Amino acid sequence: MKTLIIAVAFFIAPFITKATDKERFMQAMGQTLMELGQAKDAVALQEVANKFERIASSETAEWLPNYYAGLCYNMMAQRQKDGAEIDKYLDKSDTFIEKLAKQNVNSPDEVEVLKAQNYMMRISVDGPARFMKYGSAFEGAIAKAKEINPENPRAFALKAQMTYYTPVQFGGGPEKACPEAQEANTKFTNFKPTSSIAPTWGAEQMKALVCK
Amino acid sequence: MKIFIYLLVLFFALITIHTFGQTTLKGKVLDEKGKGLSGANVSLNGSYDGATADVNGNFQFKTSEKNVQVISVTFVGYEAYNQKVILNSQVLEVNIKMRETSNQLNTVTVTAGTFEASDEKKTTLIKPLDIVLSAGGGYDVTQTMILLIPGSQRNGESTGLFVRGGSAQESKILIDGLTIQNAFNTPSPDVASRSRFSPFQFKGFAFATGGYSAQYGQALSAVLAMNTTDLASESGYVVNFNLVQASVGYTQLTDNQSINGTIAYNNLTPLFAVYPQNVDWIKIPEQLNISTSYRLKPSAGESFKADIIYGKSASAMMFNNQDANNKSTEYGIKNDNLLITSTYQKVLDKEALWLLKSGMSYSYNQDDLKNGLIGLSKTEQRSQARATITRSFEGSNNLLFGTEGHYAQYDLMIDKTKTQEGSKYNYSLNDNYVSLFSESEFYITRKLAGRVGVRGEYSSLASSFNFAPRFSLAYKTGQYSQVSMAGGKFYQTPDYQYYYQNKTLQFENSTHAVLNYQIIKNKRTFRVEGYYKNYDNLVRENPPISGYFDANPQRFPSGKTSNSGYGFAKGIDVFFRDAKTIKNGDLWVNYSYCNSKRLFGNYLVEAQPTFVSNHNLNVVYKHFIAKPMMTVSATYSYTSGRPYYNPNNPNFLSERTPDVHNVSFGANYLTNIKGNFMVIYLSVDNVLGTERIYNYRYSDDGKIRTAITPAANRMIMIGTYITISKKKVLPEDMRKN
Repeated sequence: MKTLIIAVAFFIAPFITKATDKERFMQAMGQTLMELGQAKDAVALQEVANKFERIASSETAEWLPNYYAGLCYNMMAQRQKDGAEIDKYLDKSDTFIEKLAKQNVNSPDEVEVLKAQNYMMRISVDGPARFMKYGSAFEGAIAKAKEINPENPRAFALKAQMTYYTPVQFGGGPEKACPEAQEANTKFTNFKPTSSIAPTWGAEQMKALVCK
Repeated sequence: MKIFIYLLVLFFALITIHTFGQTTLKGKVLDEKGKGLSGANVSLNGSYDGATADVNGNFQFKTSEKNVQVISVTFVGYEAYNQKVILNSQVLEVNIKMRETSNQLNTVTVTAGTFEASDEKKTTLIKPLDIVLSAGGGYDVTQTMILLIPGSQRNGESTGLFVRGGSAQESKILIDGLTIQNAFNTPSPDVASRSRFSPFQFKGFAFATGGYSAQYGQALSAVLAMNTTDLASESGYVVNFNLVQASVGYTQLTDNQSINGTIAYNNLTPLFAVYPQNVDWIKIPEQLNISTSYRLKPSAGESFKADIIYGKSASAMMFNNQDANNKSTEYGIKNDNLLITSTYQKVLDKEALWLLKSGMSYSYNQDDLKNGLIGLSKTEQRSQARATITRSFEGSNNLLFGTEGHYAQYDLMIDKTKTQEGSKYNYSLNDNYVSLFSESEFYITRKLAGRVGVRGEYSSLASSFNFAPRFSLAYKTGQYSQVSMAGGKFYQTPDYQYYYQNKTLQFENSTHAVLNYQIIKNKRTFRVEGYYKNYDNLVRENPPISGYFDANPQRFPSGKTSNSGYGFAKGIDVFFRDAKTIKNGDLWVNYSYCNSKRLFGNYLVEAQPTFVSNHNLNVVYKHFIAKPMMTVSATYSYTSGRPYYNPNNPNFLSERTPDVHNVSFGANYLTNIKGNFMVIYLSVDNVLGTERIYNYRYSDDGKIRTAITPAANRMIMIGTYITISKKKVLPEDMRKN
């Protein structure tokens, strides 16, 4: 009997350990996401980005650590003033997108949104010279995200943002962005994340664009 | 039960080891100068354990991992760092020095003699858009290059690129590495003609005014290398119409391929109605262009391009050929031009160390010229193939091998049946040209880089081989500045027209030496380059009558020829660009000083050539206005007087034309029409209407002098460019949130 218990214990032990690994991952992600929510300055953001990168390097089967690390570097790029610096951070963000391309991602629409975000930032460095290249790349990524998941609110939000900051002469401006932002808001209300650590961000930013 | 207790003990024992077996890792992450790298990510591979370096670069963390592990350190803008460590439950101190990734700020680039324009590189000096937005360039690639880049000069009455004392023959235009035989429209006498290409066809340019790479040959002075655009970014129509042209193009984009077809019709009638012409046109220039381009990108490291451009044009004018009676004769041009190019490029291995580039082209050009009673029918055909293979090595070093082969056929028929001679003459020539070249770019340190290459050529026309070494070195003198030098030997087969009568002519050659200093800081660029160029083996024509000089640019070379010509050119080019001082403004200033003399062609003695002016200055200012959204630009160009031939003056080419001043203005208004992007453009050349004399021509008896001036004293161009596509927006300057 005892031998049997031991045998069973030995047999199931690896599975228990495996389960705790997943738990450990979820816990680490949850903790880091909370820190991301609280990150106010560049130092805190860098710290969070580093944590995601470390989790990513260990959990090679998980896509979310790479996704969030890429997102963090986009956010850091937004805080830079110099064009060359912005590009440096976006280059780093792109390295995570490259890793995501080789992974099994269960919400590829979110990766497309992240790509679109990086394209939008690239344009901000030198609008006239870069629009030809990155403008259509942006539209392409948004279209692809909407095709994969027509309910992804972030795809709609980003598009609304792009319209908002586009000059009126080119069919942009706050007025044009207003219905787009409203649509995005509706999508946010109906949005159900697939897990506790899946992307949910963006609703706050949309409030700034709400129609006046 | 015993076993159970045993297991329990073992379990606690393990936990104990677990808790007491932690290793503390601590240390500093520093940059090359020993400064702490705040924010660097220190991690233990395969675990969550790690830390972020603090303001001083210090880090510390605990880990339960055991034995040999790898710590890796990453930071934005730095190369990843990996180090093996042995974890043994104690405190381990690791100090790390990080190396900055190679970028345009900390790494020297080989620049002497070449200006690059591209969207790909982030900090190049000139963007393709600058071509369209600069006043005075006539929306033409070559004319704008002359304005923006020092070393080349604009000769209003002659077609081509005149670079650093070189003739138009000495500058070659390449598209995706392939030599373009007839890059310019067939010129009418005394009217500089435009290049055949639209600036929108290209994504980048490199204008090499001296000491250039062994990849290019058959150019004694300069190479303008243009790279065509890649896969189209969207489907849609492009419509362009202005005073001289109406064109429409359609692009269809599917996943990884795009196809474009464009048709353009040019007719100068509306323009001539607006501005009176100094030229008496019998047939107003008319041109039809049809082009198609195909792009395929099967994978990230592979691309295929094919382009077909066909053009047909006709014009005729009265040309004052200055015979003793000072009577004008008719000069008519009918031109047919076909250019087919295709290129294929592929990364050959997974590590992307091997890159293959190849291309093929065929061009056909037929000119039917009518000069008074003489008819001239010229056919030029060229087939070429080119391939290069590049092996990259660590640290941006590379090694390139390449080969190029051309077959050219030239046919000429001179019809003098209507003259007293009453006969037809047929001439025919062909040239087999082969070249092999190799080049290596290497970094000795990030501050010191070089490029060394050799090129060997054989031409059946010149019936000889040549061997041309080239080199270039660059040293970074400071954070923003660098000095570089370049030099080498350059060969060219003489103008094929000489071979109709003399098949023994050999390669002409030149030797370049270039020294360059450049500083780029804070959106300001200053660049100064000194050069010396020596010419040898230039073709000389012995005059049929001693002391006789025929100044007619349309003359057919005659008389005995030999490779006995020589010459030199030396000078300084200065370039300054300031996109900083004035907000939304962009100032370009370039000045060239050139001193050149040569004995070549039918020159009687060594003299400054008629196409060389000593001083050239261009000042281009562009301003971006947000509301209404537009760009305005103004250009001032100055060209000092050039030599002209006065048969009454015993000193050959000793007189100078007056200096030429030109102020031009351009504006682009960006708007939308039903959500489609639209540009309305306006440009005025020679706003002040100053008199511009390019040359003087004397009648045969030397008694009558005629000034060669532009076809119109002032030129105005107005037009619009519309892009019709699903994409309706164009953010000009997105503000950050």
